[in-house]
Amino acid sequence: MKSRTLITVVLLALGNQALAASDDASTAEDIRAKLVSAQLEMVFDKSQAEELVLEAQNSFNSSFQSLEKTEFQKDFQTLNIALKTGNEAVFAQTRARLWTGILNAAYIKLENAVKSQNTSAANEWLNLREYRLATRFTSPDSDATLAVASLIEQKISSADALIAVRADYLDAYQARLNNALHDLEGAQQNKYAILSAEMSALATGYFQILSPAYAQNLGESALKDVQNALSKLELQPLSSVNLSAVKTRLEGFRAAPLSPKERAKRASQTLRFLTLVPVEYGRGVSESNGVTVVNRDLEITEAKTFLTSAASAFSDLEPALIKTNKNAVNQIKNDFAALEVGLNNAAAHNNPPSFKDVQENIENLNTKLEQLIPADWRRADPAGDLDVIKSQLRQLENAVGEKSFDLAESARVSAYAMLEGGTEARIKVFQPQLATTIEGLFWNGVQPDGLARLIARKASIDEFKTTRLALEAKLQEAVRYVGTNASPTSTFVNALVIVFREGLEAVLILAALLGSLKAPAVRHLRRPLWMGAAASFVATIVTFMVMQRILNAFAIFGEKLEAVVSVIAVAVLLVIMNWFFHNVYWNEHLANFHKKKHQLMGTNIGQGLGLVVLGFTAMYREGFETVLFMQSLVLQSGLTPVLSGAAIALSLVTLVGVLVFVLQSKLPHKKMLVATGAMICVVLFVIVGNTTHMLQVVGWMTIHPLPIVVLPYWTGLWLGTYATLEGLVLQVIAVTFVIGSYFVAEGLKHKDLARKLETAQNPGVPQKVVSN
Amino acid sequence: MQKRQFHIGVLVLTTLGSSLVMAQASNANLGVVKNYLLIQLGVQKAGSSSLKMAAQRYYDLAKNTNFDYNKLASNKNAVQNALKDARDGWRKASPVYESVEGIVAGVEMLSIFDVNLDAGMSKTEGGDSIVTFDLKLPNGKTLEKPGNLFGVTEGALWASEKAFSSSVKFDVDGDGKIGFGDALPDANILKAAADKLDGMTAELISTSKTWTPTLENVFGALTANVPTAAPVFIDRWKTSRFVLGDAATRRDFNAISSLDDLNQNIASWLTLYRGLVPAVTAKNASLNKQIQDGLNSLKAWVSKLESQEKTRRFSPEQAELILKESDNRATAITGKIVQAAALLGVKVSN
Repeated sequence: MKSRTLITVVLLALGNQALAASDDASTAEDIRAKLVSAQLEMVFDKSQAEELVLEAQNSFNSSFQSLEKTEFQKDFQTLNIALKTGNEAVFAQTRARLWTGILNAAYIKLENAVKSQNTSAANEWLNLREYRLATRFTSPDSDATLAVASLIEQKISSADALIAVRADYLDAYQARLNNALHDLEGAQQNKYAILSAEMSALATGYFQILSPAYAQNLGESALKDVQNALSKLELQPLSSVNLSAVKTRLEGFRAAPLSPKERAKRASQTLRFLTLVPVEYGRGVSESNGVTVVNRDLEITEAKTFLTSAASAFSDLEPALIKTNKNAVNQIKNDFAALEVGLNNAAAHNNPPSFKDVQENIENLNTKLEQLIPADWRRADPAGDLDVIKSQLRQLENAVGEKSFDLAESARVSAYAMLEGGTEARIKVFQPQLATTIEGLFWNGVQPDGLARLIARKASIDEFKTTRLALEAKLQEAVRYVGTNASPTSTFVNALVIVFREGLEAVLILAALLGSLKAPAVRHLRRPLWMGAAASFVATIVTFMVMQRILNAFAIFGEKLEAVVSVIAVAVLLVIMNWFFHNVYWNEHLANFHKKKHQLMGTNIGQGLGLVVLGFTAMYREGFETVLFMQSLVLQSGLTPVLSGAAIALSLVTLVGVLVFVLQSKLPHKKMLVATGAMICVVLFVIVGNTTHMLQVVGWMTIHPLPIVVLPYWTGLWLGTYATLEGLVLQVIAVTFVIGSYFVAEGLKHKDLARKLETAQNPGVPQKVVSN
Repeated sequence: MQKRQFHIGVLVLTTLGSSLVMAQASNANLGVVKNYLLIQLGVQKAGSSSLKMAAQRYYDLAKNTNFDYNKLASNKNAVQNALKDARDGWRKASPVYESVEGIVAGVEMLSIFDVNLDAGMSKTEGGDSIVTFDLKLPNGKTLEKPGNLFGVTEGALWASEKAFSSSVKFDVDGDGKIGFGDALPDANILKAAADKLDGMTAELISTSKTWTPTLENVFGALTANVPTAAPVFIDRWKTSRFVLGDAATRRDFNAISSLDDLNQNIASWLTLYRGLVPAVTAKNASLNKQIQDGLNSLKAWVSKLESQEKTRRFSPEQAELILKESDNRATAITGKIVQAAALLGVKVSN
């Protein structure tokens, strides 16, 4: 182990040194920059341009030792000829070809290095790349860098590193290809021949990097078709027909398919950034006598950046969406383009559109997007959710500032629904303690007081601010845990663990209840209990399917529904428990005296229904919780790994269930009854504790925190015991009720036996019938 | 048991991770960042103080006419001088604030200043970020949550917000004609907002002195600011008189080129990055070199363009090429900064 660590440290040090010594990434950047400057100088100072090209060529020749340079040398020759003849378009085109050629070569070198686990070579080529265009609001990814770092540290295999590198690079170059085609369209509209030539060559170059993925997805013949279309475009870069031909052939193609999480991120970005466009635009312009005037450029720039970011995020979703609704996608693209023209006019202070027009156009576009983008695509991005939640919390604070506590409550409920519908279940999985803290801050927690509590007592804005800041900090912390990429394998394992844990709880509860009904005289009562349990299983599946569709609306009621179900479970359990002690335990020993009554019991519809309800509610509590967990995992990684994990977990639960029931049947009857009674007692204790907590969370019960007492997290998770007066008192009352019920039953039994003995000793005295 | 082990594992990993980041932070020289912030805010304070004094002069002149703005307009020279000084003060303070906004907005303890100084909305506008102050005017009235202070002072000085203007036309810029922004500001509002702006700048300075910068703050400031090179500065330049000549329709950035602003901003980015050099170098010396080369090269490129524009006129198509190249350079730098942050275990939030 030590030697492995030592090797890793040495490798890291060597890698760092190698990087410091060899820096082809900087050289490549320098070459590209020099050639851009040379192109600008072609018009103003030709000798300067020649000098820059020579410098670039010398840099190239003295670097990139492991590259095959023949094609690049040809490009340099073409550049020199174009320079001499003053052909700017050819110069621009060749410059773009040379640059994307270097990028492609570097990417191939990187892939090979990762495949062969040549970490120093991987490090050498890693930074010779382009990223997605950065904006003030979106930064490039770092997945490839982290994957190579993990490979060096031997934390991941080369196969896993390769997947991450490919996903990052192909995503970046596809975005660049989209940018080039978009810019080409703009250049064509402005009749910029040189820029069009450059963009057409850039598009060809970026596509070259993506071409293996294209061939893999759509076949060699389709690949040749695109390459031909691109060649035509390079020959006639100002032809919009040629551009359309290329775009048509690229429709639906995505080199690195988006994971559900990435897809959700893009969907969230598209909608979020778009809604911010009119906000910024409105602050940047004013209307005077029907004329729109730009008076704050920064706001216009930000509006443009938001629009560009939204359009860019949408273009990533386009390949998946165009398959289902091509017309809608094209309409949306046109809307984006029209908005861009308006905002560009505003930036140039040249006939800017009115704020009202921009706002209306954005609203229309937003409606179209919401209709087109599937709802579940927008639900799995914790960071996106967090932004919306933060925004809602600010609205809450503003409403408090205005003394509008109704509005504040509405904002609180919306924010919580957003959390519960997406991120909370995952926090519960990965950081259950954090989930409890966040829940307290949203609802009726103390120190600082939860938002629900603050709203109820119409607290000061400073108190709200304290809670909001604490909540934001915790949410930020939560995103760090749940925001990491989840592989299908880890999602599979998570689903397996969650379903197994919840299933195990359900089995134990069911075993406890069924164990009480082992005596031949009451065995038939097992049937309604089983029916209730079976119905809850079906209800759980239905809930899962319903939540898939209407998660947003459902989430608002999630906690309250869980609270209601829990209360019903407790009520039914208490009634049935009382009945158990008075009928099962007691009557078991007095069977001979109550044969007739047992027969009647068999036909008692009320008791049967009670047992169905008990079976249903006791099981559905677990089922509902499991659905919430599973739902969030589906949002994170798709249905397949989750259902696979759940299926295996259910098989294991069934196995454990069979073992428990077999073990139960082997136990001597009296011991089994004692064990079952104790189990029911524990089940009631836990359910009462959890139900009390749930009622306090949704604000339906007061909270009196216990002073000084700090209970560890596991008491809440396993025993339903939280440090509140109400919770502990109710748990004690519940247990007292069960034990008391047992002693009352015992007392009645002895009293009755004594009376019967007395009757036996004094025949002729009429026997009092004991009512059950 | 497994669950407990899992939790202990997470705790250990979290602690180790935090320790690592803290160790990296101690490796960095983040004091540079705080110094930079305080220096910039010092310049902003000088601008806001000038604005405050000029607004006071304008208020005194208006008070002398019992706030009869038509009468005030007849005191042409004194009013023009006062308003020119006020605008100059605003022009000095506002862009400097833009250069530190990425830090102020990104640091929780400072972020409320960003809302009140530059980003917050008015109560009327609504939204999720309303300013937290009311503006008490010298005449006893109160403007409830009027919007951010740079916005209010700008609205009064350039008459872009009717409610902050007297609506009396006046040749503020002295160009001999009544054009955009030529109206007398409401003296009460201008004075109250200028006083508040200056006071809040002082407050921001004193709060900033208690701030301890983190790696996350500095990386965040850089990744939020470097990508603005093309869409903010070059885009302005592209549509200014420096490129379009008489065809330019915008009235600003015609005296001083936006390239000059960009150059100053790059200098501040270099200063910010200097604070990260020890930490990044320790992790990946080559990456550090690439980032520094990138920033220096961008600065050299902008300086060259700035000197070239004095003797040559770039065509709109060339300006477009310059914009795209600037964006490429800025993205390459930002991308590498993000990689450095990731290697240091710092999550860059936007």
